[in-house]
Amino acid sequence: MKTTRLAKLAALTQGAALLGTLGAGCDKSVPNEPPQPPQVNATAVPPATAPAPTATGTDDGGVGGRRRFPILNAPPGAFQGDGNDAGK
Amino acid sequence: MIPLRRATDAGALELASEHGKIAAPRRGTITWKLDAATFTPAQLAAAAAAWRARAAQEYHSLALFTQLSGQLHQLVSPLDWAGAFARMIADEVRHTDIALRMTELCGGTPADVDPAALHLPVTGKTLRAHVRATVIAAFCIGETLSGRMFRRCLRAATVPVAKGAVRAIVDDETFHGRLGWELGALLMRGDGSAACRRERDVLAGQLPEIFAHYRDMCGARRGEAWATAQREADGAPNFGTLTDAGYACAFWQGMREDVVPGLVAIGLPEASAAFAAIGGVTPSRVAAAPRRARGS
Repeated sequence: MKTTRLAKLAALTQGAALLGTLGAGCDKSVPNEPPQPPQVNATAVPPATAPAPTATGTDDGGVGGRRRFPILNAPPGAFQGDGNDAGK
Repeated sequence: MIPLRRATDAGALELASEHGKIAAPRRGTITWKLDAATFTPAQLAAAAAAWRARAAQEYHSLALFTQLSGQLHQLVSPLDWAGAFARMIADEVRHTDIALRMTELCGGTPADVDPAALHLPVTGKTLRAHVRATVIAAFCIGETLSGRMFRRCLRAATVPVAKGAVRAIVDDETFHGRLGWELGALLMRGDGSAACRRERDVLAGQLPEIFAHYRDMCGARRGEAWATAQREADGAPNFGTLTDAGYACAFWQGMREDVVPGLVAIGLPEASAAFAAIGGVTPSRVAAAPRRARGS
């Protein structure tokens, strides 16, 4: 590796940390934790006792509607609309 | 083990069309023609086996870099890192596709992969420590050595389609090596905390083990003296491969000329002692020894 490139690399190590304290927020002191199964399937189906959606209900949580599908890329179990659904 | 498939084979799909664009070389083209009748069955079988193994290795790189990219998102790295990783992941898709296609062309069976071995478990104290160690290992060492090996494979290749395939890979590997060293240097920046310093010390202490891992993967356990005394590559027809000694030689020279000086420059002076611990010859010692004419 050329001296100029080595000097450039050495210079790059100087400066503010780019990942900073974020690493500490992702403590993996317990290695190889098994992945948690997603919760969305468990809550995607309304319980038998839940009231049926009204005739005016819409998928986007309109008047009287209850959104019953997960928001893409949201944490498992997070639902938009009825706050009581979140994290079920 | 699960065999790799190049295509979904479900008719004309948008995904296949986009994949075709990604899998094409970034410059030039590969003429996918091989007159099998001009080679012996043994030559074709050897070529298929070499490219089959290469396909599995490239797929492993694809899985690892994709995983690493996601971990960098979790650490909220600067966005330009995401862009660079997107390019690199695309490159690994291309390399896997090329290697699978070369295997097919030579009459080989598809490469197998073990899904359980694809992702690297997070074993560091923090995700930051894990990412830093992975970048140092997979890029500063792995991609640097890989680039050196592929450049030698390109020089050795005599079969036109193989030469085209290796050239497409070499173009990308050069970028990977440069990117890896930039990332490695940037990741060595400290935040002034004792925890960060400890992470650096732990990484430095792991260098002998990491070096030994790559030495063994490159078939270099017999040492540099043995490697340099052997032939680097077989003559024509050469399908873009080196001899075992050729790969081993690339390891030792790459470690001494690129990896160790680079690691020292980014703040890991322990790399020199770690190299000596696995049997590496320091520059002052190698200067006194006879050298082969061919460098990288």
